[in-house]
Amino acid sequence: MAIEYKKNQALFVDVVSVDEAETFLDWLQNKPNAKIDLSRCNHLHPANLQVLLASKVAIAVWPKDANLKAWLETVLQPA
Amino acid sequence: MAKTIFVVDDSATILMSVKNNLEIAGYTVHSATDGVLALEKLKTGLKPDLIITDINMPNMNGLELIQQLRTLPNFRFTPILILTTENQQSSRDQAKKLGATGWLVKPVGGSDLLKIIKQVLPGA
Amino acid sequence: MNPLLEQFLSESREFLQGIAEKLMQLEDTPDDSHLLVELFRLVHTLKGNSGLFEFPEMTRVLHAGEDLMDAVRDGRVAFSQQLADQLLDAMDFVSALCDQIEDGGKIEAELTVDSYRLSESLRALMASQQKQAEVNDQIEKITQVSAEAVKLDLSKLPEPVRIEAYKRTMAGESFYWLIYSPIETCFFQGEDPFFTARQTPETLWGQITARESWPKLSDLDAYRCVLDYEILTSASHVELLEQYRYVPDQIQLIPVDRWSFVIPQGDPNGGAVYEDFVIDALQYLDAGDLDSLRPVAESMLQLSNPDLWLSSALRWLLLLIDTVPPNHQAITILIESLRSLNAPDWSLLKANTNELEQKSTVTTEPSIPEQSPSEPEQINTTFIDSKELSEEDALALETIFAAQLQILQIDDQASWQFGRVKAAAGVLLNCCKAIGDEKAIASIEVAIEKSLSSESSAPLLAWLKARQQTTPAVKPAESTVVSAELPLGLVSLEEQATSPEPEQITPEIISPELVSAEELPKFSRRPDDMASAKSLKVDQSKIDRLMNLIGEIVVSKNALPYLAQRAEEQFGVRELSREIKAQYAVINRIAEEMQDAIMQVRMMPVSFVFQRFPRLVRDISRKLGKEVHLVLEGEETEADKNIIESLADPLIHIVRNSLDHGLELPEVRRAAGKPATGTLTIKANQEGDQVIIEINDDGKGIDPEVIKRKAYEKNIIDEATLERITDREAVNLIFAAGFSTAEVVSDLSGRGVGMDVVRTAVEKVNGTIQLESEVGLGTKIRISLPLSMAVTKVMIIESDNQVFGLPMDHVVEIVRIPVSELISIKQSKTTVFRGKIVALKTLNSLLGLPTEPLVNSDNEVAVLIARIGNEVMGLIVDDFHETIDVIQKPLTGVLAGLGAYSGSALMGDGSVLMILNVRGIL
Repeated sequence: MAIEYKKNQALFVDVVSVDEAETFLDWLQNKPNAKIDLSRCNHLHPANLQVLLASKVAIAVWPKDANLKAWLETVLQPA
Repeated sequence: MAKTIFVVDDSATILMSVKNNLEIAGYTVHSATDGVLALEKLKTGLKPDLIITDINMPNMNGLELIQQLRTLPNFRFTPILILTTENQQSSRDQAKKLGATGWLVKPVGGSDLLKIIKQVLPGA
Repeated sequence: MNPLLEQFLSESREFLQGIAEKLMQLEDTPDDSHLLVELFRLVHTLKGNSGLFEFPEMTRVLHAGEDLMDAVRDGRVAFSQQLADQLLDAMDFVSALCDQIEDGGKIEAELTVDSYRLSESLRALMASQQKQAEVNDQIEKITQVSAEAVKLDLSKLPEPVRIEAYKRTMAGESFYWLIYSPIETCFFQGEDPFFTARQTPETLWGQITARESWPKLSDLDAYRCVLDYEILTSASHVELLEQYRYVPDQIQLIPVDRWSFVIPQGDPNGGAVYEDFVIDALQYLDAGDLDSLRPVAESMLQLSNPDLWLSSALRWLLLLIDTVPPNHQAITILIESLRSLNAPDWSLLKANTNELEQKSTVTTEPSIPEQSPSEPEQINTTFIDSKELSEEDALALETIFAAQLQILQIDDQASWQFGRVKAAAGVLLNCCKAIGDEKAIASIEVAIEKSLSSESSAPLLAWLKARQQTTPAVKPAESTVVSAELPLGLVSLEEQATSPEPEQITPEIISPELVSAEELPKFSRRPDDMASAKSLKVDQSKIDRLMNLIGEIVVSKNALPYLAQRAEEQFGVRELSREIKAQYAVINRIAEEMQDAIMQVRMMPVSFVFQRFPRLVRDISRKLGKEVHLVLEGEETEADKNIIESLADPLIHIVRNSLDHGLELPEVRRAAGKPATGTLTIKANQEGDQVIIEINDDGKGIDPEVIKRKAYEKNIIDEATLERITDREAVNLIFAAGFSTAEVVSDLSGRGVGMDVVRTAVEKVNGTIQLESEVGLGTKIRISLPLSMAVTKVMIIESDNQVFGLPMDHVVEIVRIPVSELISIKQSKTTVFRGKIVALKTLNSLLGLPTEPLVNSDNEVAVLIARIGNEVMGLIVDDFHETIDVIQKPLTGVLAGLGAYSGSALMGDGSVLMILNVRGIL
């Protein structure tokens, strides 16, 4: 559905749409030590992925969705 | 959650057929009969996950509609499929340039339509 | 009928009407580009709609019309009257098809031929060369991407993935390496490339790569797409193009050679000494002794650290050894690489691949694409092009053709032969058109024509057989090339080939539209918010029922005053009586409002009738060689549906007459000093509770002298009348019954055809008609009609102890006239009323009642002065009562033949009131 922001953590839920990327980018710029929880994420629009990549932010929890995890592991670094 | 699809076509017959197909497949469908009416409805805060539009319509055609929609923050990224009987490459190229996601040539069978929707709509 | 079809038909009629209107407007302003665009849109939408159903006849004609209008719109073909004629013909045809579909749900077979004729003639209007040019243009636009040769390096793939892929190639699968580089702005086209990539069918492995290094977060443009996707997939070319249908220009497809997977990887340092192993291994291999080679390699592997390059190479070696059948040269190359510690040089093998593969693998070998493995396959950049023929389509086509061949060869009943030939011809022609085979279309049309004219299937059979010889079977080589153009939902060629019954394929091809159209009724709902739900289409019978019910309420409420009266007079409770009256007032008000509301619902604009005039006037005037300018005014004026509908025929009659006899030929008009183009004006407006329709022409008018003479000759008027009749009265004689006969028309310099029919029709709905004419200047016909005919105000009259209703439209006055003032002239009574002589008739005698009319105590008789048409006469009755609103019901059954009554109505006390038909009793 969207990204849920909690203090220092961003929780990606269901399908994270392209519209989220702007807010996410803003949020991340103020949270250099943010942790990302992708466990409940099924899909994210690449705009969000680009933000994740550019920020080199730590992925705290990988997606349960095996296919998404496999794809993301080819480009995102584990925490 | 059911995905919302907005269908624009001046033909009540096509609207009826497309709506039927989509609603049976579980989508929530809204519709308008030309570009102007579509814009009106879409400016009221309705944010469909996908828009399907005809090209040849009175008042405002589908290409103009796409052009207008892409200037609205809410619809910068919304997938827009064109559903038309036209099949000219030049029109297709122009549509892409204006921001169309895909192009379907009428008549489109129900299953084909759903298949393409699933291709452009994550989580559909 | 299923709701979708119903919707289609009603919408089609609207479109057809719109098309006809636009076409006629265009005749006046052929350069109006806006109109042209509108017209194109209407034809185009109609055609699109027809495609939802299986009405090839309709779609064919509309398609031709659409193409023609497209050409006109783009200025490639000039708009002409001939073009308009053809299009109007075509639309009439479509309209007839709609009627047939509505009646029987099917289109008669005979119309197929007509549809060809019509679409051909439409297409003939388009210059054939330019059409060709367009086609060429399109072909050119299908640009080809010749991707640069990409050196495929799969070393980034994990070894288990490559092993898996290698094994699958040995099992007959083939792989593509797909590189998807979405354009930077793709997010703004609603795309999600990651989603598209993830959806790639048969993905074995995929990875995301960034095209550039990442900037600081503050400089990042999240919406500029810079990620590429690389995917190893075993999906077919067709499946992949389907998945990437909207971005075919953004992908590269590289067929993967199985040896590209075989890459030993790992730490090159350390491990056992290989030299001896290599020598031994090669010896075994030379001897063809793989069984001895295997344990040696296995023990080598056990001795080595699995992370070593050597171990990896050994794992591959073992895999190659176990491959059935083993490729000795490949094993040799791998063993050689162990010696050098360099990656195996598969190019040595590739040089001989074809030969080797053929030798070593006979049946299990998959179809490795013939292109050099490292060269990306060229793909088209079109979205999808439906014209090209796919494998499935080609196969289906052959099946269909074979079926037609069978059909045509049947020779049992001669009487069926014609229809059969026609059916088959339709199928074949459609097929050729569907695949866009111009040459075939041309040749088959000749064959069809021959077959149809000779009523024999021979020419078609010959064509079919000739065709089958040239294309004996589906050519796989061709189809792989065109497969990029495949539409959706296709099975692979292999599956097709094994499908046992070709018959199974045919319905699949036809089904998408059929199924969607036929399955719908079960689920379909009317689109609720269509056209903002501002108007509602309701079956007329429902409105009629509502109106009847309201009529009954109106009547039933009339019982309340009776009840009040009884309460007071019979039971002596005045209080109750007053209350009933108060309640009655309320119910009465509501009932009247309901009545008014339902009348509003039934109102429709006269444009319903007017809209057919432009076409009518155009067609007739063209036939007569006259130039007529039609002016329509007040089309929005509304009246009850029945009134409007009853107006149609009389109006058409009048307009025809105006054109036929009123307006002159251009040269005659010029000679008379008038503009060559005549003007016909049809005007509607509302005056009080009447709708007035005026039809004016500036033609030659009607000569009253001619009319008088003719009327006298026909015994319509006597000599006395002939003398005193005014010109104005004289011209109105054309409405008299018996005046207009064909003979009169032919030598009468005026109008005449069936004008009494017109009058009758108008009077049937309680309207009146009047004519004014000035010789040389023109004629004006004025029809006035009631707004609504559902409720009739009648006066209740009494005669011979019976009550009757008489429509108020006829009542001029009610008077009591002293018996002394009644004058008898011959058999009939007259009186002088307001200075005029009025003929008197007694109702009793008119109804065949023997009783004399009652004379009151003052020795007066009750006379109702009635207007019938333009005449005034007195009706002697016994007494007058109140006037009431009634809902008139026509007489049915044996009573229907009674001319004296126009209908009956129910009174408040439950009695039946007979409504007199004044015209009928006189």
